[in-house]
Amino acid sequence: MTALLTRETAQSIPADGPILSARAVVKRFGQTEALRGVDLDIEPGEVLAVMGPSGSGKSTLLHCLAGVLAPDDGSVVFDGIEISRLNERQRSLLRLNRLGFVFQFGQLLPDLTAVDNISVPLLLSGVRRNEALKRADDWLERLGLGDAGQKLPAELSGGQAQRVAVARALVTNPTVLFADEPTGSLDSLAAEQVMNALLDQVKAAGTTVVIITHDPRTAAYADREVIVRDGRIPAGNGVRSA
Amino acid sequence: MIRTILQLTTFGNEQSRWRLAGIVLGIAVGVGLLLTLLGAAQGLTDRDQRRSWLNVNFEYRLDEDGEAYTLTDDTVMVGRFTDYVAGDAIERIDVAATQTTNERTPWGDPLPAPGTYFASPALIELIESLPGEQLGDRFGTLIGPIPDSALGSPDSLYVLAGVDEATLGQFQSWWIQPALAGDASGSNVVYRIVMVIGGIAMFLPVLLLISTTTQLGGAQRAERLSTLRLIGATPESVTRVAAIEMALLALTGALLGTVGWWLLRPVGARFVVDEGRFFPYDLDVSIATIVAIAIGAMLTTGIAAGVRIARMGIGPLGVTRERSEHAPSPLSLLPLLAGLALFGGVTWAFKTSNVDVMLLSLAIIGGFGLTSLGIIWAGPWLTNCASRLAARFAGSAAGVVAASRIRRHPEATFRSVSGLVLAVFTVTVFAASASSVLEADDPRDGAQVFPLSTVYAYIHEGATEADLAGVEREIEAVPGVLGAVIAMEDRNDPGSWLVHRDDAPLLNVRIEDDRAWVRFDAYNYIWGEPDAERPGQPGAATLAGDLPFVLMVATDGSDGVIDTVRTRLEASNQMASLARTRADDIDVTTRKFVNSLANLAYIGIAITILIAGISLTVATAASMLERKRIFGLLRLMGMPNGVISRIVAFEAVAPLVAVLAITIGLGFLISWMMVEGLSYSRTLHAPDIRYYLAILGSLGLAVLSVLAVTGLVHRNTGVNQTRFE
Ligand SMILES: Nc1ncnc2c1ncn2[C@@H]1O[C@H](COP(=O)(O)OP(=O)(O)OP(=O)(O)O)[C@@H](O)[C@H]1O
Ligand SMILES: [Mg+2]
Repeated sequence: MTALLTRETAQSIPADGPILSARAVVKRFGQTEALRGVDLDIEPGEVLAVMGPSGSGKSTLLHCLAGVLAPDDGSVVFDGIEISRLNERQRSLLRLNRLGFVFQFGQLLPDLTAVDNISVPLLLSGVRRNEALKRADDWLERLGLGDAGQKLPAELSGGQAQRVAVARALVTNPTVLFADEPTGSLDSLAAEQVMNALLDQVKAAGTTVVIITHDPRTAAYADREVIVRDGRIPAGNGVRSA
Repeated sequence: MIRTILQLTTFGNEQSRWRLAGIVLGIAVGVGLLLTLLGAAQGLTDRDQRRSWLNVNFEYRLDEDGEAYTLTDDTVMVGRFTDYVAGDAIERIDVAATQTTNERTPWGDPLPAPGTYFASPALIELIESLPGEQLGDRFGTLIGPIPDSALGSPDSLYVLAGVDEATLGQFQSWWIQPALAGDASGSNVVYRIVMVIGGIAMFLPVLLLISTTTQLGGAQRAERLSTLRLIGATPESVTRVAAIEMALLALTGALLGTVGWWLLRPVGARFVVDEGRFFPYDLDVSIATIVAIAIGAMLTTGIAAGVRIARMGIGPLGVTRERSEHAPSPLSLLPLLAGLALFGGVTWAFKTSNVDVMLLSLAIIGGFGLTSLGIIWAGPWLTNCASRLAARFAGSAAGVVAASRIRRHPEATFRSVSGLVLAVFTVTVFAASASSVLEADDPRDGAQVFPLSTVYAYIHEGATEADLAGVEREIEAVPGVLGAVIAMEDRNDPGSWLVHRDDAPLLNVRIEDDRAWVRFDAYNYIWGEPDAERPGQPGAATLAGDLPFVLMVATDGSDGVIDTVRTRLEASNQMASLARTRADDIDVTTRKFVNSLANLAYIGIAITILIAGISLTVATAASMLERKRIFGLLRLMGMPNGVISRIVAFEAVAPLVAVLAITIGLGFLISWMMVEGLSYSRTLHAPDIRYYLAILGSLGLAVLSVLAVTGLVHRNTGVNQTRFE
C-alpha cells in the first residue's frame, strides 16, 4: 500500500472509475455539522469546480478529500486507498507525493526566493538541490515567471505569487490538485492569468483538479460543477450513477 | 480613547498576556540585578570604610616637620602584621602606648594593655575552637570583641593586641603614629572592576530578553494598531499608547524586581566577597535610588517603545515601511576591533610606562564593554557569512528554509543567541584569567627547595645564645617538630642566610662537596651554591662574627603542629617577625581572593546563562510562531514532522556556531593580554572544570531550547490547528 503513496506509481491509475470517491462523509466541529453526508466521485483528469455559499462546507469537504481532516463518518477512497485507514505519516507522504495544494494567499515562505519556494516539495521528497532548482526553473518558465525566480514573495504581485504557488503545487506531478479559492484575492485579469496557466499545465499532464471558487468565471474553466449547500451536495450532482 | 486602545491592544488575547508577562519578568530581573549590584558596590565601599583603621600607614610615621613621632600620651606605636592559622590569614595590629595614654581604639574603647587583645567575633570563635597553644596564646587575654562597625565582614579575622614598647621594638617593622587610624584603601578595586564587568555581562542578556519579549507578536500588534488608525486614532495617540503601555509594564516590573531583591537580600549576603560575607544591611540601597531606578526604567523603556512604534509608521492600511533588514556590512566589525585595540593599547602602555591604576581599571572596563558590544555588533555579519556558506551547501529543505531565514534576518537570528554568546565570552575571559592565578601559585615541594612544612621567623638582634637555646629546646619538645635550625647572617652580606651542613638534611638541602655552609636564596626559596668563600669547617656550629638570623623549625606539616610552633615562636619574645611558612609567603589571601571571586563569577555566569537560555527560547519560539501559518501549510502539503525540528535547530545553532568559536578565541586572547601584559610573572593556563561545565551548560540550554520550541511549533502547526484558506 505504501507504494501507492509514492510518485513512482502515479501512472497506475485505474483506466476507469473515479480517482477520488467520497461516500456519506460527515464532519462535525462541536455542535456545527459542517458536512452532513456528502457523496462525490471525481474522475481522473477531470477539472471539478466546487461552489456554494460561504460557510456551506466547501473547505471542509476539500480537507476531508485530501486526508487533512478525518471524517467523523463515511469513507474517502483515493486511487483505491481508504484514506481513513492511513496513519498520519502515511497521509503526509500521500499529500507530499500524490496531491498538490493552492490556497488563497500567503502560502509562500517569505524568506525564500520564488525558485527556492517551488523547489521545497522536491527537496522534501528527497530530490537533490541542483536537480530541484533546475526543475523549479523549468516550472517558472512554463508559468511565464521567467524573470521572477530570484524575487522574494513580498516583491511579487498577487498574481505572480499565486502562479508561484501553482508551480509549487504542480512541481511534484501530483495526481490531484486541490485549490481553495486560488484567485479569490486577485483582480479579474490576474485571476485569468493564473487560471489559464494552471489549466494549461494540468490539461497537459492529465492532472485531476478540485477547485473551490465563488467566481462563476473561474468555474467556467471547469469540466463539471458541484454546489455545496448546508454541508450537502444535492442528489445526482456529486455522483453520476445516483 | 487611550484606555480603549490599551484594552484592545495590550490585554487583548492570550498571546499578548504572555508578552506582558515576559516584559514584566525581564524588567523585574533587570531591576533586581541592578539593585543587587548597586547594593554590593555600596557594601564594598562601606566595608572599606569600616576596616580603614587596619591600613595604618607609613605616611603617618613622620610629623609635619618630617620628624619621626615619639611615643607620648598622644601617639601610639604600631606593628602591622598578617598572622596565619590553619591556612587562614589574620589581620593583626600590635599596639603599644604609654600607661597614661589618651589614645583609644578606633571604636572608642581604651587601648588593650600589654598581654591583652580585642578580636573579631569570627576570630574569637576560631580561638575558642582551637587549643590555646595553637592560636590564643599568641595574643594573651581576650578583653572583648571588635564591634561590627570596625569589621569588613562578619567573617573577618582581626586582632588588635596590646604589647609593651620594648617587645614591639624588637620587631623589624613598627612605627609611631598620632592615632590608631588609617585611610580607606580601595583595596577591593579589583572586585569593583569585576562587578562592573559582571554587571555589564549580566545586564546585556536581560536587555536582550526585554527587547525580544517586547517584539513578541509584533505583526499582530501592528495589525491591531493599524486597525485602530483606520477607525480614527491619531498617530500620536498610537505612539503615546505604546509608550504608556511600556512605562506601566516597567513600573510593574520595577516593583516586582524590588520586592524580589528585598526578599532575596539575605541570600545575597551569604555570598563570600573578598574577605567574607556581607552584613545584611551592607546590601541596602536607599529609597531614593530605588525610586530613581524605577523612574529610569519607566522613562527609558517607555520612550524606546514610543519611538519604535513611531518609526514603524503604522498607518490605517498597515505598516508603511517594510521591515526588511539591511545586509550587514563588514564595517560592523569596527567596534570589536576598537575594543581589541584598546586592550592591546592598555597592555602596551602598561608594559612601557607607569599607568595610573584608576586609569588602567577604567581602560579595562571600557575595553571589555567595547569588546562585548563589538561582538553583538559584529554578530549579524558573522551570522550572515555563515548562512551564505551554509546556504551554498544546504541540500535539504530544512537547510534551505533556515539558511534563507538567517540570510534575510541576520540581526534577529543573531539577537536570539547573543545572550549565550556574551555569557560564553565573559566566562572565557574570566576563567582564563583566573586560571593564571590559581595554577601559577600552587606551591610545590622539591629537592633544594625550602620545605613548605618549615616554619621560620627572624631572630631579634638582642637575643642571646642562651635565650635561643631555650627557645629551641621548648620548640623541639613539641610533638611533630622534626628539629630547629638557626641560620646565620653573613656579616659580609647582610640579609643572607647561611645554613650549616649538619642541619641540611632537615631542610631539603644536599651539599655535594665537603663545604660546611650553604647559602639560601630567600627570594626564590631555593638553596643556592655552597658558600664558596667559606672554607669547610665541619664541626663548627657558628662562625665568629656572624649573627643568628633566622630560626627555622622543620615540622611534619600538620596544621596543628605548625600553628603550635608559630604560637611558641611568637610568644617567646625573641623574634623580630611573626612566624611564617613558605605557603604564607605565596599568599593564601591571593588564592582565597581569586577563589571567592571565581565562585561569585560562576554564580553570575550561571544566572546569565539561564537568562540567555530563556531569551533564546523566547526569541526562537517567536520567530517560529511568526511563521506558524506557513509551517502549518507546509505540513498540510506533506512536510514530515522532522523537518520543523531541523529548521528550528539550524536557525538556532548556525549563529551559535558561527560566533561561538570566534567568541571563545577572543575571550582567550583578551585574558592572555591581561595576564601576560598586566602582570609580571603570571602565564595563562587551562581553565578549571567549572569553565567547561559552563560551556556545556550553555550548549545544553541551547539544545533544550530547541527541543522546547520544536514541541511548541509542532503543537501549533498541526493540521487541525491551522485554518487553511
Ligand atoms: N476548524 C473549525 N472549527 C470549528 N468550526 C469550523 C472549523 N472549520 C469549519 N468550521 C465550520 O464549518 C462550517 C463550514 O466551514 P467551511 O470553512 O468548510 O466553509 P466554506 O464553504 O469553505 O466557506 P467560505 O466560502 O467562506 O470559505 C462553518 O460553519 C464553519 O464555521
Ligand atoms: Mg472556504
